[in-house]
Amino acid sequence: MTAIQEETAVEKTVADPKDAAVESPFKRILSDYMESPVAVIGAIGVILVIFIAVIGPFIAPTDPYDLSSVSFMDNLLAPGETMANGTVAWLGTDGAGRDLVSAMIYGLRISLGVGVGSGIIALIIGCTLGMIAAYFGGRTDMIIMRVVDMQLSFPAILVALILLAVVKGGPNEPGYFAVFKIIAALVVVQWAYYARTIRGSALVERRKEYVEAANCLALGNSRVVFRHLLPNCIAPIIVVGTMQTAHAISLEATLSFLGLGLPQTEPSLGKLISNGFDYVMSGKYWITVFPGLALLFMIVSINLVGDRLRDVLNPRLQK
Amino acid sequence: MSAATEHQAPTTAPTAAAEKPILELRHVSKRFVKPLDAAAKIANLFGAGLRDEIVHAVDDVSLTIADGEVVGLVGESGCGKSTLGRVVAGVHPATKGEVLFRGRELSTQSSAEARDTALKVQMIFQDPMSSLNPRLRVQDIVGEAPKVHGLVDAKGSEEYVAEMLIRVGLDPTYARRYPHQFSGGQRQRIGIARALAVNPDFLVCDESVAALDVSIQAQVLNLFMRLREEFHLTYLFISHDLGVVEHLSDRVVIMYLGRVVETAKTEDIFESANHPYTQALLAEVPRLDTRKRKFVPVKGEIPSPLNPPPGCHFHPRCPHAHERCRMEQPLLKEIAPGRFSACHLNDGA
Amino acid sequence: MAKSDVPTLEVRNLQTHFFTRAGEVKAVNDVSFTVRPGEVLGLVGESGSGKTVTGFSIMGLVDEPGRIVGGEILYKGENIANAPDERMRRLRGNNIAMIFQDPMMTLNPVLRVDTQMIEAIQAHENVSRDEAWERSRAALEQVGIPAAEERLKSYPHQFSGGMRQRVAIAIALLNKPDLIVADEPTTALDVTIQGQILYEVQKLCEETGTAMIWITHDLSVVAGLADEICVMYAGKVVEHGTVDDVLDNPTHPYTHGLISSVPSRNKRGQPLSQIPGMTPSLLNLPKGCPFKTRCPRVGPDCDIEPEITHPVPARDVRCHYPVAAGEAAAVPTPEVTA
Repeated sequence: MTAIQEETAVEKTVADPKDAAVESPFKRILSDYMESPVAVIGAIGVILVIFIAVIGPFIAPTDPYDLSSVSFMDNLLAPGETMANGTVAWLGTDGAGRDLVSAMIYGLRISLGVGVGSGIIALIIGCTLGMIAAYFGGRTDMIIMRVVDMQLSFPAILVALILLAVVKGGPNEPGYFAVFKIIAALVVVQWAYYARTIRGSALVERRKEYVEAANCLALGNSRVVFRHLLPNCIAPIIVVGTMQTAHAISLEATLSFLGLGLPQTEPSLGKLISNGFDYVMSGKYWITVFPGLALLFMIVSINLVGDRLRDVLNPRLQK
Repeated sequence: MSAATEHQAPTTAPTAAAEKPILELRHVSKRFVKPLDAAAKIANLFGAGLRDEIVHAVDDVSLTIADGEVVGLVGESGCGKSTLGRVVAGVHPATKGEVLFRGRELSTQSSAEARDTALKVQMIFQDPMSSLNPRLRVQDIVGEAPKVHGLVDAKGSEEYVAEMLIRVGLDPTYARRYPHQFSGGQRQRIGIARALAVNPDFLVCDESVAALDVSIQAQVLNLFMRLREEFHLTYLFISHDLGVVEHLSDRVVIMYLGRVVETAKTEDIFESANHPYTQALLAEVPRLDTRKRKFVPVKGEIPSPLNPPPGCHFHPRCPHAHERCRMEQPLLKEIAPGRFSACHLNDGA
Repeated sequence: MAKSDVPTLEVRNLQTHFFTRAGEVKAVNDVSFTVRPGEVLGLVGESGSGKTVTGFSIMGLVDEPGRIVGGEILYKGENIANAPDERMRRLRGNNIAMIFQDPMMTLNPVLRVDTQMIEAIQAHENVSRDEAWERSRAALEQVGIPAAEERLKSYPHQFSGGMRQRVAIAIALLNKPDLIVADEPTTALDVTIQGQILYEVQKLCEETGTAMIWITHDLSVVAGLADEICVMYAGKVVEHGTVDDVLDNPTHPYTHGLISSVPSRNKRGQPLSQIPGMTPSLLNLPKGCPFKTRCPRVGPDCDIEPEITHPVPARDVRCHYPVAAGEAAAVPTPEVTA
């Protein structure tokens, strides 16, 4: 027993528990992240976008969905003009007389909601299939990964276009149904990226000794996969997730612009751009330009965050 | 506390321990097959004649380890020592042969029994970086398995882990920390605590001190020796470092390209090695007391385990090789009581 | 062995520091030694002792955020510490060569060995391709690679680990350097392969008079190979002398502890005497002697940084309480400190 106490005492004196060099991984990643000013601006942008999207209904000057408050008299007002009900349309109004600031705030909600929603669903499906492929290997792995290959070999926009064209609903299909449809289409084109990414990192992690140790301790398969493997594969998934969300938002905007996305009643930023496009030639630039700038701002911010996350979460680039 | 008392009452009486083997390997082989990929299969359609790549990592190894014994398993890279260790620890199943723990074969046991046996054999790994899950706290690394297997309830877990940490010479207040906050030697201690937490009887140590600094290596070796006495453990100590093996082991097993070439008591091996490979290996060990020595190299490289030489695997490098060595595989024969060697030279004289 | 008066390399009070976000890391802090032609100097230390950074400093390979902040590195009398890149590049090809633990640091994985070797020669000398090829072949044979002509056509991945290290050594030898800095070149290799390489290296130094700095954590390798030995701890050389002197009669408690913690024949099965604790973080070194927290001989003077003294002739030691010659078992067994 003396030997034990003696060794313990030694460990204590040398490894000071309040060692300054010891910092949590989260703190380290955060301080690494903060080193890039551009990335910090991106992060502020993302936070701003999310903030606006969340509290949108409370800050929007008018409710663009409330048909009673929309007056056709206000249509195509230039930025800064005053609407019939007395509020100033700082960014002008669209062809239907909706205040563009309000329309953009609501559009932002829908764009972000569709992007993040489809991203999360695709992530869950992709990660589950990718982990299964990596852990069980063999035939399971081959089948899943061939499907992934096939999926990835088609351009995403083409797949989404085909899907939406095939399941085109009737004229009186409810608005939320169209939202589900586009989310489903975005999930279909995205899940394969997640599956491929997580399979790659899971294959690396699976060979590490701590997985063998877990097997040695007779821990069950699902415990090893979800408690030991999965948390160690999360870093690349965060990066891919960020990038894919930006991608999904722009894809949704494209589809809406092409008329296959969301209906008039659920105008996303893409739909707003599309609506305004009819008026660009007549000098009513604002209906297209301001939603376009908002979309650009959102996607650039997300991508800046994603780029930086990729750098700080990549162990090979660490000093 | 409960765990300590369990350990102090070993299931077998110490006197009988010497004769009764705790672990027995009977003609164990482990093959790894790398199947052809699609491109090679297509090439075969055109008559390329490619075959699956097969590595006989462990080739017909029989070994008996007595209760309480420390067996050193020595060999160079690619000799299959780590694979053999993983077969013993149950990480890899054997392709052929039987692994018997306390006289019972694993495959004949019910799943609950098999689990208990699996827990009785634990492994200590080489790399202190990758052998601990970086996302878990020490509390969970050490405490997870005992909790899952019902050795301790959720309430007692913290106390139990603290006890395990004290056993391996770590401050129990470290339980809240993550692996990256420890030095290599401390991480290795955590790995040992994780294994001890399920009350094993048998530890497979795979190069467990190879990655550590010299002064830390001594600490961990001392820890292994102390634990052996306290908990009546049996070790299979895998290492390429003959100095470490000599220090720790009762018996040494030398492997070359998947086969056991010699096994004997540690004193015997180091005083009078029989197999030419063992002799060469011993001659190459750098020692503190040999100064400005003339290095006399063993000729040749270690052959690829994918395509080992026929007959005796060592013959291309052996200074005594003759015709028979190229044709016929020498069998492991008892050349003196407790000494086995696989060399044709023993038949000639 | 011919020992000329002009040392091949003289390192004086070298200081290489790294300026990291967490603070200034004094990786090499006042290191001095001398290597003469044909001599092998063993630079021994544990991880974090600064032995590799010393090697990199000599080669001019210290990258940001590291800098040589003090001292001199005299190559045949010329100070090459912080020398211009152009000068260092010329020296690295011609006069000083480095062998790394990982031979792939030297080898380019996508080029054939002959291409790499011929390029290495032609970059520094104006010779024909044929002549360069012939010299490459000779270099491979010199390090004991069979069928050198065929192996020249191979790519690095077609060699085994030991063979790859030999090729790296052959490349280091191509331009007949005066000094080779070898950073743990055999650590990753098997004993029989290590023996082969040590054999080639030893032959080479004797035959060509090349000076060598052999950086390793393994005292036993140095015992068999080196003439002199420098033991490093936390960025400083704590003991320096001839191999026989230092290993038979260590005076610094750290050297003493290291030697007695190596398992050896006569201590079989007994507890090894161990140095307690672990290497301190270079960011957070104790005041005074950096070894004092682990030292069994610690005394009141240890709060002051020890200077180099010569407790026995021809020996540099940084310790206030050196182990006297013949003082047996100066390192107490672990049970003593409570």
